[in-house]
Amino acid sequence: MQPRQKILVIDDEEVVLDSCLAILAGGGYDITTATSGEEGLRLAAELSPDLVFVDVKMPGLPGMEVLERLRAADPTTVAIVITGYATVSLAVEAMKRGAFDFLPKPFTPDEFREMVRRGLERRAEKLAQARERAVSEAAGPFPGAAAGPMAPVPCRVLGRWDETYDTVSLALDPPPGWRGFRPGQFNTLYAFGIGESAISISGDPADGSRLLHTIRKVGKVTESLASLQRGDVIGVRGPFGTPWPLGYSAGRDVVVVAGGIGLAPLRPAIHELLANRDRYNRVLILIGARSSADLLYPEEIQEWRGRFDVDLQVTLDSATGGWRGRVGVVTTLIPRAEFDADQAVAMVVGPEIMMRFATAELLHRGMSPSRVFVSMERNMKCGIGLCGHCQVGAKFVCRDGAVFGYDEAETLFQVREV
Amino acid sequence: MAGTDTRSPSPAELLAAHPFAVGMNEAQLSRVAECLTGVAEFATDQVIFQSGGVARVLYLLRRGDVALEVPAPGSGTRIVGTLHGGDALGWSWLFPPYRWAFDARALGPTEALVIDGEKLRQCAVNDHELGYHVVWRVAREMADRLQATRLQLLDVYGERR
Repeated sequence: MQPRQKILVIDDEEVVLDSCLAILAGGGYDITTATSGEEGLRLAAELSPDLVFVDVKMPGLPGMEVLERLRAADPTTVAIVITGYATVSLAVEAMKRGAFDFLPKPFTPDEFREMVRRGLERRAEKLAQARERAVSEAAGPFPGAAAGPMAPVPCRVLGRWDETYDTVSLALDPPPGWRGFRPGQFNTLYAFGIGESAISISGDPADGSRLLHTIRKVGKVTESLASLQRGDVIGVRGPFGTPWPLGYSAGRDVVVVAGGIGLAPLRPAIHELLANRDRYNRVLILIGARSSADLLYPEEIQEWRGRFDVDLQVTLDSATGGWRGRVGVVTTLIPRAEFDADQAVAMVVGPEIMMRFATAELLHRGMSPSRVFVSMERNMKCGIGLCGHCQVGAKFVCRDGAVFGYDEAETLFQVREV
Repeated sequence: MAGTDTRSPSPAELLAAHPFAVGMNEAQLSRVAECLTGVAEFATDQVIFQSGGVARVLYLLRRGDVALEVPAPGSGTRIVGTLHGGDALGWSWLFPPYRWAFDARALGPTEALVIDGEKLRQCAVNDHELGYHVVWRVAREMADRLQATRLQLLDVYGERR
């Protein structure tokens, strides 16, 4: 039997607490109330609630501080701010401090129930992500990295081939003790004497014989990595970052949306989805590229398209007369895609503009932002939240991501430069 | 014994099944259905219309894929967009000088309802409420395609180096 979900409501107004109790009575939850921030934090430590409602304006410890302490104690806690002083700036401030959402008073029973439903759904996703992260952390880092997390381990290049005119793939000999990776994770690749760059792992997680990275030539380091040849040695650190929520996606429709080079970090997830196809409901793979010459992995795409249990669509920005597929940006595939928005999970990668528009289409279809996952690979350098290059607000993209639910990523997207 | 109903769907029924007609009331549907001249089928690579030609009709695609393209001397043909079952093909019938701006070619077996553009324009002039519905649908189609074109122009997959 599933344990009852625990909800904690912290508000100095008894009438609000009574209303919350009345609204949720008989709903199968364990509900606890607190009339101050101090009491709320004590109860949260004692009970580990799944969902916490926090009033912003309370005598004593302010709600915003309660919120921060709750999140610091357990990052999987889902907290929703309630207040009678609803302003946009307050809502933004609350979200920045880690609130999942914002509920202005007075609220109707239906509004409160809906917020509870969404909050608990988010909690389930966070727990699933934490479990997947724990699995990947148990697997790595590899013993060769004993010199410390910043010390790269030498790896030999097994092969290098062009994917497109500006993109190459490198196959590396996995370092001794390499224990694999979870789809969505990345390594930092070090071109000796030049520098290092965070690159998503783009191969099949089930293939332990080689470690694949697809690299787009965009600067000195990536140019140097792309010019390596078989037998050359580079430094590798990793794997780092949060994985795609593949465990959480079991039993659901899964919509994979890849734009341009974004297919590389999604390919391991696609491999895992297809290798365990019976665990998932519908699987849709929507791919956009600038032109057929820019399309990554065309042979694999052909293979995936040939499967009867996958709905794969490719669209190009521009094509010549010989192209038989769709022309238009990848976002145009979303309105017609057949999936159940009420329960589907989406995994979206591409440049940020593309992710923003793709996410907007998914939300327009009725998906919850917390079930739309994006990979934000901004300025990642050290991979362990140390150097601060990728810090956005309270988050380090490399350590807290790079895979985020859009409910979290939305505020990160609003930060124009890291 | 009850027989199987094998009658062909009426023009209004055909039209009602297309997304273009969603939200129209029965009277409006039947007036637009009066402008329906038939169902056209196009084979793979068949040209539906050519740029510069007189735009007499609105095609409501039922199934299939259509490329909107422009001949590019020296490099063949460039496809600027594709349309699919459920889309409305062509708005040049609505605005003077009533000439197609692009070529349209079926990418595979394609079926479309064919609406007489001039008749539909006349209906819209005579009945402004119906006219609003028609123009609103065309405007929505244009807005969707404008948005998609803007994204194409933004080159959302990153700068070409």
